[in-house]
Formats: sequence, C-alpha cells, structure tokens
Amino acid sequence: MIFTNLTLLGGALLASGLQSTDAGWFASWLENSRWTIDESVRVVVDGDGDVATLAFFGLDIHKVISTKNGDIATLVLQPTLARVDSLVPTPPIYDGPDDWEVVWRIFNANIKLRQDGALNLRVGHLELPFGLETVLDTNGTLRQYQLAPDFGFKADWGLSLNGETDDVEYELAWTRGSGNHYRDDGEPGLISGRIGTSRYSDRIFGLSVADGEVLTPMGVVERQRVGVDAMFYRRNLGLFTELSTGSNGPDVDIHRALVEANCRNPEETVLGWVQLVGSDFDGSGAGADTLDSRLGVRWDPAKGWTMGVQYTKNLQGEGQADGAGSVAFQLRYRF
Amino acid sequence: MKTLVALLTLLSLSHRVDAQAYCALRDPNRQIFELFPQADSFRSIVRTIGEATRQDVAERLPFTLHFNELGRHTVYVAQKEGQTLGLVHVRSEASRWGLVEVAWAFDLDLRVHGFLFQRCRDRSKPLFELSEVRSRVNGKNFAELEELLEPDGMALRAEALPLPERGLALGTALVRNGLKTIATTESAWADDIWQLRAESVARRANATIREVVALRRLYGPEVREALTSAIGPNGSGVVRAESRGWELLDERKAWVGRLLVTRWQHSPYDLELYWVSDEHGTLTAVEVQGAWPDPDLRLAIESNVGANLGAHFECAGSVELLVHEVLLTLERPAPESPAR
Repeated sequence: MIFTNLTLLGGALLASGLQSTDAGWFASWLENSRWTIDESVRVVVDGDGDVATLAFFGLDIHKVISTKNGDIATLVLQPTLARVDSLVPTPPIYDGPDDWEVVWRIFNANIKLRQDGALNLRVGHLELPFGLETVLDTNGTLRQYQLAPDFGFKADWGLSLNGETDDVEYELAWTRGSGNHYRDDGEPGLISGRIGTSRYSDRIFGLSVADGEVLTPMGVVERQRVGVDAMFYRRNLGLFTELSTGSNGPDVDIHRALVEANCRNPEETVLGWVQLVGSDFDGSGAGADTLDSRLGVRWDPAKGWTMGVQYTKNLQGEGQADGAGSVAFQLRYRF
Repeated sequence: MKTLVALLTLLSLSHRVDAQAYCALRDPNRQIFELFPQADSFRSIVRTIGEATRQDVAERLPFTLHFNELGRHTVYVAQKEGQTLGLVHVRSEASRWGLVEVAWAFDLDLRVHGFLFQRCRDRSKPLFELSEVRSRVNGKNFAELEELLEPDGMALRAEALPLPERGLALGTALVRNGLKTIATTESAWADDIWQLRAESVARRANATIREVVALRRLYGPEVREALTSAIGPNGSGVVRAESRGWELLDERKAWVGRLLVTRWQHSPYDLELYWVSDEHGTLTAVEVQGAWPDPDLRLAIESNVGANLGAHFECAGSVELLVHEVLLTLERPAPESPAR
C-alpha cells in the first residue's frame, strides 16, 4: 500500500509537470492549490525600553494532489524570509540579534496510505507532535505554547505516521533533531508523538512523549518529555492546560505546567487569552524556577489582516519578578 | 518569461486569500465517511469563492456570505470504486457561542443527504441528533430548505423543525448555513457539478464509459443551420444557451457516443434533461434532473429511446420537436481526438 501510494504520488507529480508545456505546467500546479503571501511585522519592547523587531515575508502554499480515484497527498509549503533586529535573547535559529534567515515553517508532503485518513505518511519539515501545539495553529502568531521552550524549535526535518479514526487522532514522528536546518553533526535524532481525542469535541485530551537528542548551540543534548494536555470549551470560553515532565540532559530535570483561559466573539474575529506558565528545574546546572504570565489579544479587523498584542511578565525567577515585563505588537497581512 | 507569467498569475490570486494559515487546514475525513459510509475514497475539488459567488448567493437569499468566507475552498467528492456517491462541503456560520462548522452531504441534485456538526460549542447540539429533526432537513433541496425559514431569513418558521426554544437559534443557523452552502456550491463549483452529473448519467447508460470529455463548442454553424431549417424560428423550447455536451469514451479511449444536457422550457414544464446517444447517433437513455413532474411526460419522452435521425419520425407534438432538436444537436462526425 505504501509503495502504491508513493508510486501514485510520484506519477502524479511527474504527470503534472511533464504532461504539458509552458503555461500548462503552471496551470496544472494551480489546480487544487491555495497560494498566499504571508507578511508580518512584530515589535517587542522590554521592561528597559529596548526594542527588538522581527519581520517575516513568506509564502503559504497548500496543494492537494489527486487522481480520478481520490486524493493522494497534500503539500504544505511555507518558506519564510525572516529579518530580526536587536533580538535579545536570540533564539538559536538566528546567528545573532541582527540577522536574515530563511525559515521553513512547515514544508512537507502528507501522503495518504489509507483513504479513510487513518494512516498517512508525512515527509519533510514538520511540526513536532507534542502537546497543545498539535491541535492549535500558532505559526506566525504571538500566542505560543511550550514546543519551542521544550525542544528549542517547533518544527524539524523528518517523517511521521499520522491519522485519525472516529474518536482518536495520532502522530508519531522521527525527526533529525536539528530544527530549521537539516544538520547531522553529532547524530541527533528525536522521536516524538501524541495521541489524543478528536479536536472537534468540546473536551479534548492528549498524551505526548518525546525522547532523543537535539542539536543546540552547546552541542547535542538529550531531551525526554512526557506530557498531557487538555482543552475544554464551553460557549465562547476555552480553558487549556499542558503539563509535562522530563529532562534536558542527564543532570537537569524539568517540570512544566501551562494554563490558559481564552475567550472569543461570535464571529471569532477577536480572541483574548491569559496564560500562566510555571517551570520547575531540578539538578546541577539547572536554572531558577520560573513563573511567567502572558495576556494577549488578537483582532482580525478586515480580510487578510490580523493585529495582535501580548504582554508578558515574569512573576518569578531570572531576577525579573519586579520588572515591568515586555510588550509585543504584531501586524500580519495575508494577501 | 514563464517566471513572469507565474508571478503575475500568483499575484492575480491575491484576492483569494484565506485568513487561516494553511498548515491548519484538515480534511474532514471522519465526517466524509460517516456521511457516506459506503465510500472507499474521496477527492478534493478546490475552487475560489469570490465576489461573483457572493453576488449569486445574495440574489437567491436575503443574506449572503461574509467577506471572511471568501477565498479558496474545497468540496469533497465521496466515491466508491471510482463512482461518485455525493458531495461534502463544510461551511461555517457565526452563532452566539462562536463559529459553527457544518459538514453537509449532498447528492448530485444538491439535495441534502445528511449533515454533521464538525464543530459546535452550542449546548443544544444534541437536539440535532434526533431523527425527527434530521428527517425534516435530509432530502430537501434549496427551495424546500428555504421554506423552513421566515422570508427575511432571520428565524425558523413556526413548527419548521421540532425544536424547543433553546434549540431555535442553532436551528436557524443550521438552515441558513445549508442554504448558503447549496447556493455557494452551485455557483462556485457549477462546472464541476455538471461534469459529475454527466459522468454519473453516462455510466448509468453505459457501464463501459470511462471518460466523459466536455465539448467546447456545441452549436457549430452546421448544427445551427440544421436546427433553423428543421425546428423553425419558434424553437422547441430548448434554451440553447444553457445546453452542454460531452464526448463519451470507453476504457480503450474509443469514442462510444455523446451526452447532451438541455434545459427544456415548455409550459408548464421547466426541466433539465440528459440525453445519451451511441456512436450511431441513436438515443440510448434519457434522464431528468430531479424527479419527473408527471408520469405521462416521462413516458412520452422515454419512448424515444432507440430513436435516431435515420429512422424518421413525425414531429407531431412538442416532445417530438424536442427529441428532433436533440438528435440534430447530437448528430455530428465522430471526433478524431476529443477536445480535452
């Protein structure tokens, strides 16, 4: 079955490229596709008044490859050019606080191995299946969960088996462990997976695990995590939580808890959220325990436009509990 | 140059933006197979819901699509062994507690085959699992569904659905959403639905047919001349501007006949009729879109199966005139290579 679908996919890709010339090639690629340019600008002002800016200019492409007998695969391609200035602290994806970077947000093919959606093979740059992020789309948004803090990146190069049945959805991935760029220095590698109840329910539960090694600026570091997540919806309110425990290397144990309450208007053009994230570190070399709070609002004032603001304040740890916190503003336009 | 064309085409799609990042899009796998349990596969048809569709919906309903509903959207064709079972189209509707997403299943006449709430935060949702409620919605076409709403489209008519007070708001949202979905599908997926209907009718008439290829030009000069001469200036009731034709090919890609769809307006009738002919120009099947309005008319039309231009028949009445026009339209040389 796997080889049949891979062969069909290859055939369809070749056919769409070779069957026609000039304009036909592009026209056939446009069939069953969506293309959007995704631009955003983010300004972060910290408690000392220092300003960091982030700008993203990306493509968002969605293409379903089909034959007369059914869909074969879905491509999601989101190459994005990022520019950051004065970004401190600097996420490892960037070479420094002022940098250009090509970010492969999501860049993969999800190939159907069963037509009913119970088994698919995803290949490429994929989001790690762990925790709330699996259910919620946070790419390019101010609202974030614990994927990046836990692993150093949200998406990684590799493959996964994924699918859904009547009440359960799952994804199990093996990825390189190097994040945005495929790098095998030190042979990192990460297995991650989540199994959860249907995302369309009012009560959603998930169990996630991850084990392996990830590439960090300090070299290859072991990561283990076990997490549970839950989402409860009542009327226009949402209550989410994600609890995880594990280790960063042999000497640091880490336990995290996230709680979020959110609210939206009937048209879902306005979303407000409050998050509390506590991190407890044990072991030699571990940092101080932290408690962070975030308060954010997202508003879609017109088609394609999104504005957002999020206030973040560290309530405990890192010596910033008395600071003024930081504010991030974002303007996003998809056209 | 090709790069420039590609870039321009890309930019020309700019108004088709979707607010949601595409990594968040998911096929309604579970819903498709629940709505069509006998299906073994489905295929996506992605089309643009643009301003023209919004206008089309506004002309048929006292409400229309929100601007946020425009963009590229998918209709899923549920299939079994390659044959079409029906369509699934998921659309959202604003409700008191956020967006309600309804997965609608339709047959090719766009009658409701079934529906499922894909996402709904309203506590009255379980009321819509009841067979008494579902049976009032399933099987209805656009006009019948429209009768469930008040003329302004803002509320259900009294007794339209057997719901208590607390379910009326969601019931109204459901029916409005269904009407919008049918109107949107008929507008933005019009060519696809014609094609699916044609394939379905053709395969019922001849199981060996594998390809149904749309004719780009139905009324060439010869056909027009023949029709003018044979039918006369008053016509046969066929609205020629709405006629469509297809070439039929078997599994060896050999030409085995044609399919013609005609809208026939002859008081009191206004029907879409599907005519299938074989490679000799002989009528092999005729079907009507929806249901026959009366059995006598059905008999009168179906009795012409087997007719062709070689076996001349009397144009004594309106049905004979109609059939004569159909045969003249279908009559043309066999295609050397069907237009694709």
